Amino acid sequence: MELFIVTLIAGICTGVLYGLVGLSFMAVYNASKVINFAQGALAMMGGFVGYLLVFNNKISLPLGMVLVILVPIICALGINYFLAEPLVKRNVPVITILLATLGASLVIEGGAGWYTHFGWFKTSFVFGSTPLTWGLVRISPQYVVILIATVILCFGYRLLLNKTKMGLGIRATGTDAYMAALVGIKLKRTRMLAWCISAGITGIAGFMIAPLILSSALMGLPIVVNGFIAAIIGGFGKPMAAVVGGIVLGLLVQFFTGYISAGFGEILVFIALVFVLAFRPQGIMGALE
Amino acid sequence: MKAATLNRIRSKTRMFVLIGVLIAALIFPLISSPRTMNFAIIGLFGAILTLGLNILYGYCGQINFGIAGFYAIGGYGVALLEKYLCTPFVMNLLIAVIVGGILTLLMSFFLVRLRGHSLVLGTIAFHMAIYTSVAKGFKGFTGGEDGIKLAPLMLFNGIKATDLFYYYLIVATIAACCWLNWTLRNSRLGRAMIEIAQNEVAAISFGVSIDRHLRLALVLNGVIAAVAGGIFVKWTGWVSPEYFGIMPSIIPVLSLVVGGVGNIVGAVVGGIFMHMLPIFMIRFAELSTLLYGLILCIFPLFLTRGIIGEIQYRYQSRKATRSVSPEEGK
Repeated sequence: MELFIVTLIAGICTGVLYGLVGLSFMAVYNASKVINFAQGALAMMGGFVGYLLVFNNKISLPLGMVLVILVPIICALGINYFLAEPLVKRNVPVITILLATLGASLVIEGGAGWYTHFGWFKTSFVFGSTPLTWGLVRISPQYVVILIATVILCFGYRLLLNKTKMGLGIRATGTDAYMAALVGIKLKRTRMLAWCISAGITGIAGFMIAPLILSSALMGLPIVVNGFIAAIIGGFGKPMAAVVGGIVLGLLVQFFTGYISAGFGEILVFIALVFVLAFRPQGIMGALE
Repeated sequence: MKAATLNRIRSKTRMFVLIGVLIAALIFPLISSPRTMNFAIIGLFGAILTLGLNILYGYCGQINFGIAGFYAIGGYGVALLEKYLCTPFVMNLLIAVIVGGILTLLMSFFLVRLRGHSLVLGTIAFHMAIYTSVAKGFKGFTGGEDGIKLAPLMLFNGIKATDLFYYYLIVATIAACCWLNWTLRNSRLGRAMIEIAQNEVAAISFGVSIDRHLRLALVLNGVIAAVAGGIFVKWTGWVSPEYFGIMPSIIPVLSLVVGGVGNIVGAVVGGIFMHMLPIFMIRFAELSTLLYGLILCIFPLFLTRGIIGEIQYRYQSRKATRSVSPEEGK
């Protein structure tokens, strides 16, 4: 029973983090129909900046948190300005844009890796490490913070997208950029905003995921792949679906590694992806929303 | 100048260049030190992988980020067969390549349905599945992170195969791959593939079966990667998961972008140079990832044709204006 509860909590929390990365994919995709492969590198940047500054140079936690959000945003704006905008303007194939963002991701990872000599960087549980206990349920404060942050970010993003004029602008830009420009939406500014939101979410996710996995400069790619798969399993193009897909994925992997065998987790992820793409390409939530 | 004469001259120059390159490749071992030879072999392996990818990405326009997975199938196929069955290398390589081909064929039934980012993700997930299964899943069988040691290759007369032998073997493989690329491009199959890359709807309306052509391209890609993997592990005498990480999947794509997508010469040149890049900058080895990233950012923006593609384009357009303009002036 205890193993079951531990696995359940771990599954939901790691899944939710992949869901957050998936959500940040959606934010960029909703506005500019670009898949940003550098999302994983931005997540790494969040963790990297956070733990490097907060622990090695003793910057206070609030300032550290601000930097955790700010630095990925600056990187994302750079990618948007120098790569995504010019390439979208030239109407190049999707794969070319994807390759360019992969290049940006390698640049960020290479820079961080050069600084840390591609070693692990030290992380710790910022929010305390003594688990909270209610009867059989033992949960690390890190997980509690993750859950709260995810709920806030998801519903905040959903509200922003559905209830504000800004969100309407983002959705309109994604649906038909030409028409959106015609009714007076500033395309460039809207896209920049979407990239900022996405990078902010990714930075937070990276900061929280870093203590849970072996964190190095190259940790971005597994995050990006899992986040992306979460988004596809949930249903591509729908923000909340990414989180649902993430939870499904997290539970699958954690239960499999906990009960059956460690080391086959990635194969399971792959099989899940194959099944979803083969039998339900619109994703679990695809038809619901 | 008439078009026919121009074509004859062009094919003649092409012939001379080809023969020159072949002679240069054959006499290269005589003038190189063992160290340079070693580096050249690493670069040439990259050229094989890039040529394999060229069929899929260059002609069909579909990307494959899981080349390291196919590469690993070839490598582990050879190593496992040698460890457990003690069969000779040639047979091992043959079986590994056939197994790789069958596995790719099975995968392709799923992969041909994907396009764009889903395809990228599907192939990455395939690579990760292969990677973790050899590194962790079947640890007892594959030796996990420690890998498997291979015996050196013995030739017929009982002497050990040297780097020289591997060099000629790989050059022959590259020549075969180039020939395959070339004949494919000038055949009905290749033209259909290029048509798929340009416009799928048009291709269907001409009666081209998209699934079949993509499947063929994927299988060829997988088979070529498996051949390279099999020879590579025998050459290093060791197989371990670290050879088949994510970078061996990314660098061939990068090489193709640098050399020129769909360009055979570009694939060879790009493959050789991009795989030898970490060796050139051995002092700043930790910066190589950064450099790869910069290259991958810059080429789609400023050099979409790739280096070789751009050179050919400039050369041809200059020639075309020179030959056409006097007649137009009359």
